[in-house]
Parts: sequence; structure tokens; C-alpha cells
Amino acid sequence: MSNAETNSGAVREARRRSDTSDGAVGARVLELGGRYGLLILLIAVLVLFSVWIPESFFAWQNFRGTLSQQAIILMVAFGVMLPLCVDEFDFSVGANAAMANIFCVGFSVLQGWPAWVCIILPVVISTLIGVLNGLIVIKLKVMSFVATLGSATALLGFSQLYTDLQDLRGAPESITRIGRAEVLGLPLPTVVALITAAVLVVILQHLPVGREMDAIGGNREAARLSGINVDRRVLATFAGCGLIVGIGGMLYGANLGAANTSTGSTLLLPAFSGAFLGSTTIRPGRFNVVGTLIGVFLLAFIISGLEQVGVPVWIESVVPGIALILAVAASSWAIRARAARLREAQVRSLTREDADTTEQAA
Amino acid sequence: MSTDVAVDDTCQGPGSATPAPGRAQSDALAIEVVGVRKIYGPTVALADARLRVEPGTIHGLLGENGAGKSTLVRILAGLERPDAGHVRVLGSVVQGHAAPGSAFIHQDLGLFPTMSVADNMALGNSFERRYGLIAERLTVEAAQRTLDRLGMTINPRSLVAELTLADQTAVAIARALHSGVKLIVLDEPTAYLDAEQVRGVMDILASLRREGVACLLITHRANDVLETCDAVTVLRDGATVVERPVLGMTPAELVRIISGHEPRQVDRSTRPSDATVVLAVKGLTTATTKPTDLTVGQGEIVALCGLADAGTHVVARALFGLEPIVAGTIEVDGARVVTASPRRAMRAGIASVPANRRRDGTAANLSARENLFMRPVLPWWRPLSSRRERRLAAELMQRFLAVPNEPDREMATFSGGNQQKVVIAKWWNTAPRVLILNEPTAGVDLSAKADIHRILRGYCIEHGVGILLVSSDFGEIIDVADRIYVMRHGQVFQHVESADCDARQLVAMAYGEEI
Repeated sequence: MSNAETNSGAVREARRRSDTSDGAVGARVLELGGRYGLLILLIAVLVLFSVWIPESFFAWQNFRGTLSQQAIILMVAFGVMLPLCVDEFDFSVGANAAMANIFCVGFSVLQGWPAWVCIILPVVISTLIGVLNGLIVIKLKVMSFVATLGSATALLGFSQLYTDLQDLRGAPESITRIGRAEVLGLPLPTVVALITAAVLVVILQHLPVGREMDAIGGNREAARLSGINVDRRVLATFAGCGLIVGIGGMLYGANLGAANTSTGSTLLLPAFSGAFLGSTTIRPGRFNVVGTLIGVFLLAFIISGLEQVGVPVWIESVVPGIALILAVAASSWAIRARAARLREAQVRSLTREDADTTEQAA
Repeated sequence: MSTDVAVDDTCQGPGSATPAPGRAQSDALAIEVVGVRKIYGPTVALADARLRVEPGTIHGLLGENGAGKSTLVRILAGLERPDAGHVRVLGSVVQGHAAPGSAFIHQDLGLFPTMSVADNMALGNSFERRYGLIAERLTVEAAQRTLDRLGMTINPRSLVAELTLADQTAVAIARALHSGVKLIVLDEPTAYLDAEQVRGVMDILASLRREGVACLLITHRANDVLETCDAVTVLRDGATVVERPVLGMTPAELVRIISGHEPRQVDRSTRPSDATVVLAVKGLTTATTKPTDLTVGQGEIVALCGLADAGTHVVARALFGLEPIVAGTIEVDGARVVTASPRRAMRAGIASVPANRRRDGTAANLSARENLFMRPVLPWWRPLSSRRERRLAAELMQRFLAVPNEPDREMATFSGGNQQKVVIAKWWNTAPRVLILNEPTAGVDLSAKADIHRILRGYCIEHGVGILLVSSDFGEIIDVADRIYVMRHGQVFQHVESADCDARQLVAMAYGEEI
């Protein structure tokens, strides 16, 4: 930079040109509200039910129960989040997790294999299913939406074949001992879910690969032109998704000691809702780990609260369904409102500039 | 809704249309645009646009890229609302949709490739029916009548995908006419056609004129204008600067009124005199460009200049691994390299700033910092340090005068010019040997443009980087390039020192006119 004086002058000039600060406190409140709104909502729900039905809701036993029940949903939500980060869908997560659940119980009950095989093999299989999904998407160029809807259906079929449509139960103690183990007073599946969350935070927010995933999700072509190996990253998200839901499904089976083929369909929607709700908070507009955690628990506590108040059972399906739609609507509204505000500010600064030049001319 | 398509193939238009030389008619203008202004975000696309198109004439709408032609067309089509001014098409105010009786043919034509010509034509209007069901034979016959009327020899039963691009353009026009329109707006219909095909399309337009249909023709080709148009309107920086009849205009005059660029004196004292070659391309051939030789020296800015169909972008894409290379070699710093993909090109020391910022350059929902470090140059296990990144980003943005210097602001909240600065700054970190710039200042306001030019000059000298500039803005090329390769129809025709010519001559060379 040869001419510093010209430069600083140009900077000042340019700063004036793009000065879009509107100084409104309202905008800041909206921003913070958008960022932590879901967390506030979660707290509000907890307070509401605690006051409403203190004896049943506001009890450690209830919290602990919800935490452990939600472990599997959390794992599936974390899994599905990875492809979502790069703008891909994986609808096979529910079926894949159910598959791991069935194999974990089935390998011990039907095959009588040792515990370590029943723990590890289902996870390996789930990961391979994720890899297969990824390969279908990047090599055969099938829309992930369609590809995983297909594989989800096929997986359901295969698990029905394996179980012969029978419920599996009675896993040996060698398995359930692991699934029901406690660490620091929390059930193992919950602890694993929290560890997964921590690992994902590191990968997605602090390692280069997370940045690359954000870039792919933000603009795939720009990412490719920046030298990012997009196909390999997309494949990795599907594989990671398979791994996580595999661990989740396996632990679920080990915890219950039982399995049936219909589990998958009950996992899919709460997990997706949680991930989408999560994308409206903490890092609005992006799928993120802490947001997903909040989203899943918000839904869980709403449902458990309503159950205890005594609403009928169908509410359990209605709430996540409607919440999913509302969450996505809210986040797209927030994005649009923000864009509109910026456009206004830009037009205002342009008019200001026009006025400036007219003044100068006069 | 007027369905008078079964007209005998005479020159007389249907019903109300007046015979051929009805140009003096002024009862209702086909298009009347007065004082139109349109602002997109931070850029003023149209400042004071004026346009009057008489019925039964072919009117050329000219101007350099970014002059506001496409914005004006979008407004005429009712796709955008003007911020000020008034717009009448065929006597009615445009509101939300195209005025009845007008048809817009965009560059991508909007045909359905897997359907037949007759079906395409009927889809825009209505199918012939019998007992309420589509009557295949009658539909084909109706299409045939329209095609005959325009003197086209296209089989209405053939699939659109099987036709040449010229015939597809003809079908698009026929479809518009099929519904009895009084105004056709064509956006660069001839950009990818050869001379023979262009003649065919222009003949069709001439026959429309005889039927009293008005045509607004957007084109970059001098011959289209001089041989076919009755009058022209020239836009420059969003304002109408020239409105005049074509009669008696010379090619040189046309070029001058389009470019309107007075040659500026540029400081080239810093230019290296004995530049070592950093990029050497020999016989580079792609599917659409002929063997190309070019060199770029250290600290030198070399431009590839040409019209939309000249192939300049294809060559640039091939160098960055985005276009298959049929033959030829590429050397960077004297070593032969293979650029089969962007990754490999980058490994070879070639970087490329894409032409379409929004589509290929930025992730709008990420912050400027994240855009700058989209692909962090770190081992995979090394955590990103946001503090370090923020510092580097602030430095880069300072160097490129990107404002506000707030690396954590979302990319979408920066103005176009500042976004472009970030997109260019992104490559700084990768320390390339050759930087390819595709339309680096398209849609960028004038002062940001000047910033970018000055920074690039300093950058390539300071780091000994060679810059290959691909731009359809000829004024920009004259301003910043040291040497210029002029391409026409996929081939380098001329190689000039920019000190030896001005924008007007460059336009002439690109068009292939001798002045």
C-alpha cells in the first residue's frame, strides 16, 4: 500500500457510504430474543408445569426419567444434524437406529453372540448404512431426500425379515448391565449423548472440517470453488450420522433389553423437530448442537408435562408435528424480517448519500 | 385472448393491425418508459431510464453490461416494480405481470425441451380441443399455420430438444406470435448464434414488423442493430443517454455511443518492464474454443477480452479445472501443471475469483470471516482460533478497504462492492502464483471499483503474482490491464498493449469491425 493518506481517506469515505447502523434498541432486542428465545421458552415451560403440577413434574425423578428417555432422541437428532449442516436430509435415521436396536438385542437373543459383538457390530452396520446412503447421494446423484426415504423403507423391511415380525425381548444381563449402567447418577445412554454433544461442538464449531461443512451448507458451489472436497465431506456427514444413530440405537436396545421393528417411526419426527427447532436458536439460521439439545428437551418437557396434566395420548404426535412446522416458519420469518430491515437501512443510507451529493453540488 | 391465428399468409396483419410502414403512428406507443428509477440494495440499477418504442418497429436497447438493460426488461415484464417513474406497455400500466399482448423471450427461451414444437406453442396459449379433450391433430395444424406465416420450415411434431439453438429461438418467437402479441421483447436472442442463423432470426423479426408487431431487441451485436433496427436507445449507468434512429449510423458511431468511454490516463509507472513469465498456456483447446496461447508475467495484469460468446470465460474456466481441456499445456513458473479440478488448480498455484458472486462466490448466511476462511489452511486436528482469524480477517479487510471492518458481520449485510472485496481478499491467504479474476467488478459501484483496481495493481506487484483478468467491461480492461488478448468466436484474434488502444477500439476489435 503505497499511499496511506489516500487509503485512509478512501476508508472514511467508504465507511460513510455503507454506514447502515440504525441505532435501534429494538433491533438488538429482536436479535437477542431470536438468539435465546427457545431457551427462554424452555425455561418458561419448566416453570409453568412446575407451578401447575409441582408434585409430579417438579421432581428429580421426573427430570431424570425425561433425560434418560430422551437419550435416543438426542442421538438421532445429533445424527440427522450432520447431513442437515451440508444441506442434505437423512430420513433413514429412525430406521437405522431401530436396526441397531434390533441387532443389539437380536444378536444376543437369537444368535447368542458374546456381549462385545452385540455392542460393536450393530454400530458398524449402522455406520455402513450411513456410508451407503452417502454413496447413493454423491455417486448416483440421487437427491438425499429420495435416497434416504428409499433406504429407510428398505431397512424397515430388512429388520422385519430379521425378526420375523416378532418382538424381541429378554436380552441377557451381560448386555443390559451395560445399557443400564450409571455414571455420576445419570444413565449411560444420557451420558453418551452428552459426550456426543461435546464432541460435536468441537468438530462443528472448532475444527476446520466444521467450517468446511458450514461453507458447503451456505453455498455448495462457492465451497467447491474454494477447493473443498464437497463429495468427501457429504459422504462423511452421512457416515457420521450412521455412527451416531447406531450408537444411540444400540444403547437404547441394551437399556431396554428388548426391541421391535416399529421403534424407527417414533424416533424420526421428534429428532427432526428438535434439530430444526435448534436451528432457530444460539446460532440462528444454522443447525447447532446446543440448539438441538434445547429443542429436543423443550419438546420432551412439553409432552411429559401435558401427559401428567392428563391430556390424551395423541397429543404426543401432534405437538412435535406442529412444533416442527412452527419452528421452521419462525426461523424463515426471522431471516426475512432481518433481510427486510437491512434493505431498509441500505436504502436509507443511499438516500442520505444522495442528499449529501446534492448538497455538495449546491 | 384474441385468437385470430388462422390468418392467410400475406403481409397483412390480422384485424386491427395496420399495414407495414405504420411507423409514424403515435396514437399508442408499444412501450413508454419515463423517468424510471430502481434501487437494488446498495446499487442504483436505473437512475433515469427513458424508452419509447413505436408500434411496428424494431427497437434496439443497447448498453454495456451493468448499464441497466436487464433491470429495465424485468420492469417491463412486471417482474419488478420501479421505485419511481412510469411504465406503460401497449397503453396499459404494468402491474405485477406482463401486459396483455406482450411477450418476453429471455436468453434461456423458456421452452420445454422434452415436448413437441406444437405442444410448446399451444402451452403458452391454448390447445385445440375436441369434446373437451386436446385434439392432437388440430393443435399441430394450428402450430403449422403460425410457422408457415413466419416462413419457418420447422416440423411442429419434432421435439424442441432436437432442434438447433437457432430453431429453438425461432420457436420461442413463433410461440409468442401464436397468441397474437403486439410486442415482443427479446433478450440477446443472437448471442450464441452464428451469422447465418442470426440472419434467419432477423428475417423473422422483419416479417413481424410487417404485421405491425413492435420488437424490443437487446443485443451486443453491431450488425443486428445496423441492419435490422429502426431506432436505438442506449443506457449508460442506469440512465438513457441516447435515443435516435439507426438510419445513416456507422459502425464506429454505434460503438462510440455504446461505450461512451473517454480514455483515461492510467499510472503505469509501476509496471514491471522485464516480467518473468509466471503462467504460460500453449494450444489450450476446449470443446468450444480453438487453440489458445497466452502468457502472464510476474506482477503483470493481462486481460482476456471479448463479447459474451467469444469464449474468454471458457478459457478461464478451463484454467481452473471447470471445463474439460481437449488439448494443450499449462505451465506455472515454468513447471507443467494439470488443472483437472479446482483443487488441483489451486495446488498448482492458480486461484480464481468467480464471475457470479452470489451464485459461486459467497455464502450469504456466513460471516465475512467465515467466507474469508471457508477452507481453513490448517491440519484437520488443529482447532480454529477465532481470535487469530478475527485479526487476520480484519487485516485483510483493512487492506482491501472492505467496510465496515467487522469480520463477524453476516456476508449478506455488506454492500455488493464490499462483498466483492471480501471474495477477492479470500485468495490472498492462499498465496497463489496466478490469480484469475472473472468480472471482478460486475455490479460493483464506481468507487469500490476504483479501490479494487488500485489494490489489485499493488497486490500483483508486491507479491509477483500474475493476474489474468476476464471482463466484459472494456473500460475496466483499458484501465487496469497491461496487455490484452482479444477473442472472437473462441479464438484469440489480436494481442495488444493496452497503452496502444482505447475502449472504443477494443469494442471494435471485439465486434470484429475495422475502424
